Amino acid sequence: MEWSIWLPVLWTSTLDTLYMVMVATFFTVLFGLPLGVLLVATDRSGLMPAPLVNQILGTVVNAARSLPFIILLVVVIPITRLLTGTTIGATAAIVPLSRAAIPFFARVSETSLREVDRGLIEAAQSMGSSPWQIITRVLIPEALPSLVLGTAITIINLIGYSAMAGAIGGGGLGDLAIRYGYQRYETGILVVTVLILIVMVQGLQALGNMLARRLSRK
Amino acid sequence: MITLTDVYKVYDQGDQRVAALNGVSLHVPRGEIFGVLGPSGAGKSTLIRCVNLLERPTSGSVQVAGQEMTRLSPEGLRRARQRIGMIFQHFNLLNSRTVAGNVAYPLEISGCSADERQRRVAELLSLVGLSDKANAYPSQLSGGQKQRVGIARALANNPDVLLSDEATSALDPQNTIAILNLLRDLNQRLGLTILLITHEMNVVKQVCRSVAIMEEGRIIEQGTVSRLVSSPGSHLARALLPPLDPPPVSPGTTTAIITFIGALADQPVLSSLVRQFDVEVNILSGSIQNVGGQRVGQLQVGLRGGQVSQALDHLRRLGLRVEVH
Repeated sequence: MEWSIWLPVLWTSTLDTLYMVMVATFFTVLFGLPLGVLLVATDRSGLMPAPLVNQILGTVVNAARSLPFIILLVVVIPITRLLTGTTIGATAAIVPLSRAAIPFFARVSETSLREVDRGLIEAAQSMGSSPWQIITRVLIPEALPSLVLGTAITIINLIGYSAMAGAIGGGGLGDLAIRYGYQRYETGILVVTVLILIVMVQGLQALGNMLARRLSRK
Repeated sequence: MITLTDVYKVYDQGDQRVAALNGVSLHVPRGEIFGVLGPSGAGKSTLIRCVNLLERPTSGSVQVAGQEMTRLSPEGLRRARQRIGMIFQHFNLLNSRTVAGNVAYPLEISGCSADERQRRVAELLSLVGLSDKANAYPSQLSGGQKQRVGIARALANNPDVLLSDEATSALDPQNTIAILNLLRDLNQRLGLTILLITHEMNVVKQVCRSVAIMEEGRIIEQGTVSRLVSSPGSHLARALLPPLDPPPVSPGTTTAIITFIGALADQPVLSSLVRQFDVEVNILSGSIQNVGGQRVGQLQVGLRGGQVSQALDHLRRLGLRVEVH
């Protein structure tokens, strides 16, 4: 194997993976967290009870999560073209990645937010807080360690998804592994991409754990 | 300061309707420390939550500082709540904030400027004796310290009223006494009206001037602690003054239970019986305790010879409660 050729390719692919995963994570948290907050707040015993809204949201989130990712990749192609102007490459992959991770993160953050002691919410209400103040000053700060861990899990999921996105021309390590490692029998490349992915996942989980521990004042 | 009139709170549990409050009326005058005493499940928690509308009553009126709480708009209710402090059994402090951050929270909510907030937080922490813990996190504090933070936080916006939801129930006896003394001190210094609920008789005994006793969603007795203690047969008297052992029956002896309240507890009334009425007084059992800042004594005595009935009348004229067996 000619490493002087492969190393730059591996490097570019790693950067591609990191790029699409990080941007997708940004959009995932941007849309997923508010969804999680809404799921908690509109609950029957929540801050702004709205059972109908809650039920509709829950159903939409479940439906969005039930589509297998490989199918989703194909289904969202028109939307991807609309948003990014292209359907191949790392930038194009961000659309299906975010679309897959948003409902997942909505549920993950919902669970984290529900773990906040009801007594704290009651105390905040007794001090005359508005629902918005409770969400931004009590719920999210108190759930932050758990939200950070949930984000780490989501990013790790996104890394897995990104490899699949590679299969249909999304770029990144998955793309490399399929096209060279698998289709051209370059086993060395396959092994190296897998190793890079393992290191990435381990590093992210460790970082998430460390951050969560540092944020937790319990 | 707080007036509840005919308050009902009914929960629908499936096809069953459970009444947590069954027509409760209550009046807490300004500057009072008012206790609601009752076993768990009596509806005390629901009652205190109806005062700041954490629970909305099914029917009835809730007035705090002259304002009808049930008719306020959401915004009006939030502003009214800023004038009603509340402390909790499990403290309910924000773990993600320091002690100072917790005390600052209600000031942020009420729109206090950053400078003013800082000044007020320092003032409140010194009021509860925690100035040195400003930068500690709640997890680093003891239960008693956490409740002090809770109290500082509840007082941040200079409320008219403090609601205390079993505030000492999770504390050890020493911390309980310290927190109760702090509450009494705040009541006297700031003129703060305090409504507290508790299942502990000792809390009522130590700080309350008035008390309501609750059972199964109803108030079965209400009044000042001193009046209730001195009314024979009241629930409070029965609970506070333990029943005395029945005396040994001996012919020619009248057995009586004499209850002394306040200044009378310190007067030598028994020796006057001996001198004026020529009776022999034999003390069978007795106790003296502090209730609501007053001394309450109870003696079981055996009287014989002389003018027993006149002697007992004399005691009644002095204002003592006398029960003859």
